[in-house]
Amino acid sequence: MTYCLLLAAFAGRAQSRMDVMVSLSNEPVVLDQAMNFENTQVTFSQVRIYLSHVEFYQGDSLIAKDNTHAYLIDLADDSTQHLSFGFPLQGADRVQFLLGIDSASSTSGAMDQALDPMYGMYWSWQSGYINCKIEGTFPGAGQDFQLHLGGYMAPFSAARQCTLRQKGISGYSDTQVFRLRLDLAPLIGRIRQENRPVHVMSPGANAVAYSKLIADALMLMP
Amino acid sequence: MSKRIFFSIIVLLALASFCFTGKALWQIPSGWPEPVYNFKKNALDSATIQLGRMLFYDPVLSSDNTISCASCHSPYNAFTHVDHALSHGIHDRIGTRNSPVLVNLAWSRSFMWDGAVNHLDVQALAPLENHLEMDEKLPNVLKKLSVQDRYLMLFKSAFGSEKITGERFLKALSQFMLTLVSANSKYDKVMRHEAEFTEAEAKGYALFKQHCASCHTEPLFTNHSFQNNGLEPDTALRDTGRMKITGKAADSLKFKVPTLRNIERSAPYMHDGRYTNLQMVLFHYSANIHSSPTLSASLKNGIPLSEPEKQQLLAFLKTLTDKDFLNNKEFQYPRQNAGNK
Repeated sequence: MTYCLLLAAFAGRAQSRMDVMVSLSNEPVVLDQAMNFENTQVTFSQVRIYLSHVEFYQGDSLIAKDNTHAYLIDLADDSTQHLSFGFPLQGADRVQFLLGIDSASSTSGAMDQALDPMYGMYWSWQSGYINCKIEGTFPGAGQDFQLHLGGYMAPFSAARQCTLRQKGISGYSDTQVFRLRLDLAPLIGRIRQENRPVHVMSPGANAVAYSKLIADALMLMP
Repeated sequence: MSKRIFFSIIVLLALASFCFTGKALWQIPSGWPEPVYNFKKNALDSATIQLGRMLFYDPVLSSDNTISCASCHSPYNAFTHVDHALSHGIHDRIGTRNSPVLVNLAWSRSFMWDGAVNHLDVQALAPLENHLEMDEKLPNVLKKLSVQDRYLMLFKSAFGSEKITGERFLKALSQFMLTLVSANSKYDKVMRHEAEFTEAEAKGYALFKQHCASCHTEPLFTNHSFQNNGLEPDTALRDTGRMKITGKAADSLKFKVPTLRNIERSAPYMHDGRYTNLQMVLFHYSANIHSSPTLSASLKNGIPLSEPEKQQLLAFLKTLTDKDFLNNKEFQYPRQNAGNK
């Protein structure tokens, strides 16, 4: 009985969070700073990404479902890269989330907090959220890229369901942290191959393809 | 008297005049379908409606502070832009489409001629950020509003705090636009047995039901679908309509069926305003249909109409004019805007 009470007490005190890191290969991305990439350099001017519907599992069992509808990760604001949850994550070995915003939310009009259209992540010329905004240049090559990846209508729904696994967090430490890393190297490599400005500013096959590339580059770090 | 006290008095007077009309803020006209808009997510109240009305008429929404919503949506013309085939925005930039009427919006599932916008709450973003129209950014609009005492007070009255967010801004505009209900034309009075059609109007109504009602369905006089109504494509504008949004060839040259309510006052007509009067519209349907793969099935053979039949149809269409709506002072320029910065 006493053992169970102690267990409950420790579980209640535990705080959990997910730290999001955006990197280019092994280097953290810093906005407006030239970064080496293969034989050239790349500068990112904007990296903003929505994550939503975050859930944690142990095996096939749902441990916790985050109540926050969506998070806007913005490299220009460090505070947005640390997501705090009000529940413990002991034993969690899988995280599931949507990279982007679900279709229902894109048809629900003006929403608040991270989904407020004032953050510039909602298209004005047509409805729907922009799941990812990634912009930058290859200064030496005179090539720029502007990816505004969105679209909620089939067959060009660009939001991607992501499931990432790692070993469960054991013990009764006060802080339980998932470390999510997005490596932009595959995306940048793909853009560089185009050898011309790349502008994807509307829903379509290109938005879906680039969104998949980004989703596939997400991983959990130990 | 300090500026804040002055504006507080103005705001309170405006709200008081709104509150004591004794009328419900919104009700479904008798016999009409349920609205599509989810009022539970944006329940109407006087203060928010008044805020939306102030915003609607305020050119501060445009990048050079010259163009308001009302610049292209005039209340006297069923909230469209009279005598302009294509509207113009800041710096006289000419747009690409005719401004649609703003009426009975609570029943619309989509907005704009191509249905690009799927919810009323976000419709205002389209003209606000369009380079040819208001050419502004939402965050900048909010910044401009936040330095005006009257708007801080209006937002506080509406939402309980002075915090100005995109969501609040958009929902306030929605609330005002939702009040733009037109349901008291002569046609409506006839349907309620409060008036009678003339002989010409009655014959026109019969023709309307036979030839037009499949798309311009009563009582909203639109079925909100997208149709290719046989307009020859404009080689300058090259507007593919709904296909621009869906990417589907089957949607080529399809545009949203507009309401015919107050049609007498909302010239010019069609998505590009090519027809300056209703006679030209009827000529189009009777003798000028352009055939294409996506042409509406009901127009394959046009709508053959004799001259007397055209006159009767026109007589009926004029019964859709709602003078109560067009002259309703509660929809017009709020005099509190005058001279205030």
